[in-house]
Amino acid sequence: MFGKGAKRKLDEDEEGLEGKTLEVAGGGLGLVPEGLSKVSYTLQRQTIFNISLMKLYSQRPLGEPSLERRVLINNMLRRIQDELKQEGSLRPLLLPPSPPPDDPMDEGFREAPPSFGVLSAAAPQPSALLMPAIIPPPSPHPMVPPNGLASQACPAPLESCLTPASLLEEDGGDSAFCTPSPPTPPLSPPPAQPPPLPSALLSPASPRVPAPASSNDGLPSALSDMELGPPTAITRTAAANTTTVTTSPSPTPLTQSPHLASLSPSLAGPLRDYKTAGAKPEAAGAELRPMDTLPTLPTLPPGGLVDISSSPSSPSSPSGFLSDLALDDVLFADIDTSMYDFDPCTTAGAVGATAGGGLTKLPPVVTADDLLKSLASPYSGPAPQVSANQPFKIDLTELDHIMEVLVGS
Amino acid sequence: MGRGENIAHLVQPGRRQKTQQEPLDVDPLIIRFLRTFREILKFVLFSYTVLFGALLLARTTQQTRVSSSKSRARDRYPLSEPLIMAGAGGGNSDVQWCFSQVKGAIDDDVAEADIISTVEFNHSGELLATGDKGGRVVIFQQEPETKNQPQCRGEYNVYSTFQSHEPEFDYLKSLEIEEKINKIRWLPQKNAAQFLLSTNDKTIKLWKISERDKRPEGYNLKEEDGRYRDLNTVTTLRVPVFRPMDLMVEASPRRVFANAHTYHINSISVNSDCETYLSADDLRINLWNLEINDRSFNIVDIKPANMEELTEVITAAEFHPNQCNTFVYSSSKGTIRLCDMRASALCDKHTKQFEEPEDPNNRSFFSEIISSISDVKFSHSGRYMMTRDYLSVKIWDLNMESRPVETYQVHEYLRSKLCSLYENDCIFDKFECCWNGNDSVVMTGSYNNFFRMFDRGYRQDVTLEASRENSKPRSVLKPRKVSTGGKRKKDEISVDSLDFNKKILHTAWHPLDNIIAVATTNNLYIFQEKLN
Repeated sequence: MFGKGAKRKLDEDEEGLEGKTLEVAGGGLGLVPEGLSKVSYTLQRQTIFNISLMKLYSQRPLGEPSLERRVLINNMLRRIQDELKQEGSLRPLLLPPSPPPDDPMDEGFREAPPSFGVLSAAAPQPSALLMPAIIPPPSPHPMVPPNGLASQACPAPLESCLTPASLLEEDGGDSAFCTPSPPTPPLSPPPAQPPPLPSALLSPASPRVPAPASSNDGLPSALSDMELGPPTAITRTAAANTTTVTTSPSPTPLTQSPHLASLSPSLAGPLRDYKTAGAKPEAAGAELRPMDTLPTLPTLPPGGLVDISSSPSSPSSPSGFLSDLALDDVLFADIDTSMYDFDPCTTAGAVGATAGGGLTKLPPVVTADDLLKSLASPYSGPAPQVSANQPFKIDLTELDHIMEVLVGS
Repeated sequence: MGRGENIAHLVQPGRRQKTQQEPLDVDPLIIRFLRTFREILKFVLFSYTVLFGALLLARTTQQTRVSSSKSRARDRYPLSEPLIMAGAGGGNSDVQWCFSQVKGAIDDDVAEADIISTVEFNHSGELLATGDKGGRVVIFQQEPETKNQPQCRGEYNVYSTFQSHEPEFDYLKSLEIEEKINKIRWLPQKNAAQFLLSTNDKTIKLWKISERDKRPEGYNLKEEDGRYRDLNTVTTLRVPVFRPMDLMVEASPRRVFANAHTYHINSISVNSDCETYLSADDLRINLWNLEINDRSFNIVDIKPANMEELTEVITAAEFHPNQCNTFVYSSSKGTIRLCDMRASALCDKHTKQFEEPEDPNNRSFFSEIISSISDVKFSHSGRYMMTRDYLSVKIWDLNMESRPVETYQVHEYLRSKLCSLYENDCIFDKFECCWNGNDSVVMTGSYNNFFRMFDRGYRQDVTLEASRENSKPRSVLKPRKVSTGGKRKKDEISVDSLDFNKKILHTAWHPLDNIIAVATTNNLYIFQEKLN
């Protein structure tokens, strides 16, 4: 959970980034702390949201998890969800959070309709909110105007936030180490069955409209889904993820930025995965591609980097799933992985492992700007774009196939 | 009347007539005797008063001199015990705690089944019961004080060990039912045998622990080893007699109270009437009769009709120590509800609700989770109750519902670490708390094998550590300190170097003496007050 010594440097970097943002923001004193605390607040909230989902996921095989613990985590999620709802809904992105696999012991809890249905709309919002918060201070950016609109769209009354600014300020250092470590369960797709990728390659990318519909249908039975374990739900989420991107074939920067923002937390996870181990799953890498293709990405403001860097490392278990896919070597053999020397498994595995001295070590922070720079260089040309889309579509077909298999079973 | 007549009286000389004196008004003998007796009585009373006053004076001076030798004082002056205890509070600088014993394996490799899950003294303090994750109950007995070492209280040695619960498998739900002992509660002793209730997640058992030190010998039909005798060899008849044998302690299950709880049992509490007890799980509380094991009454049910709306669970429950109709239960939202069973059969509607309004300065994402109460304990007097949430210990007066009368911060330095504690699940740890014998000091556990004592009277607190390093016999425990600021003094521990795997969740205080039992992960430490 908490990285090695090397990460400390990055953490200082991040703190430096936040400090820079503070300086750049300069301006009204009243605005700056608000802006910064809002950022860290939303960061923290997103982190806690992800941790909570992850907790509801991981279940001991035989023993029943404590009802009190689940109720408390549920309450936390509900509260965050209510906050996000309160802060206004941007485009309701179909991002169904993988519902917690229910404990069969809970006779009643099982049949409950999903209380997290709205989370689909809510989840991408924090990232979207981050963009407006971060964009104004830095240099002019093609995304600024639309995000300016976005910022107008969400009034985000800070008074309704739970954490006072003072706590966030002092927690700033802590939130820096809080945020990156937890994984994003809904967005790290471990397809339970490794799909036949070569066949997927051949099949054309079919319109993905039915996919969101099916994932929507999945939502009402989210909490009661016993048949669909976490991997399949995650897969569905990933499908929805990728689906949303492809349904907007000619993405304007505006439409893509929220997608980007929503994907970036998820993608950073698989992104890092794919970077560190060359043979990382094709699914993760495929999701990486649309991010690569955005020319605006490398010029994202530091806040954006903070956003990505805040994304937690992917959990160890999904990376285990993803390693089954065989297309990695074929597609990404030319990727330079030299700069990544940490294993996301150890960082994420600590979530489930005992964290005895955990608090002493700072969590790993993604070398986001390095990452993006490396990405920008090889993939700025149009040709990679085409090839980038290709594995993306492959991923879609593969996920679609998985869903068909699941629905059929 | 002639002059002569009178003169006759006058002129007659003569001897002076001895005027007959007025006869003394002599009372009858009995009255005289009673008067004397009254005098004697007065004298006696007076002398007794003088003596009694002298005696009192002697007693008070003796108390102050021999204040530390509690056992002796207790034996000779039972009334003076509370005074002594009040003077020697836990956090008071007078009291020093020293190591007495440690039970359990020494090696760091902790077997899962050896993790201690509950610790409880019995009502006299002579017996100490521990339950572990493997379903076993181990009872220690205090050795009687020896004459040659009156200053040192007896040691606790193993008295009985038995397997209380076995792991079960719920085939209907395809789930394993852990055999971990969640709670042990002793019953007040009525006869020679001891009784205790032990519970795991689903089943409560009443155990009888009895001693056997005699056995019958001399049966006619059986040999000593149990084989039946050949009837041809029986030539005479004899009466079996009891002969002494080595002490044997037997534990036998007398009642099994099963199948009454859908959710995990978290508390049991014996009523002061010694006939009933309650068992509480996450959503319901049941009332049992100790004699009847196939029927229980549900007295609290907070399960919502739609489980999706579930936001609050019951975390602990306890009967009032003196009033047999009153009990309290705490919730995961930080509220305590006091219920009176006389009001109605189903006590869903509480009589009193104790809740402290949230401090707006300390609000965070984790406010609700850290407000969840992990333990509630009545004071011995029954006037106060103590609750333990994640960061603090609160003492409530039963007459005031709006806020606690005292709040003690156990480890406030963890407030800034709540996010990571949430991540590694430490924020869900259930710490217990306990009162000392006269309700002047409260104790609770923390991380890094630290435990804290708060003296209510002297407003002092101390942090001590239960570790093998301090395990020299009768070595005094040194107070520990966690450094919160940047500057770390010598001997202080920084927050970041705390070991969150070493947590003290279960502690118990002897009901009469200053002896405490503190359970680390798999070891049981017994500390005593330092005696001169």
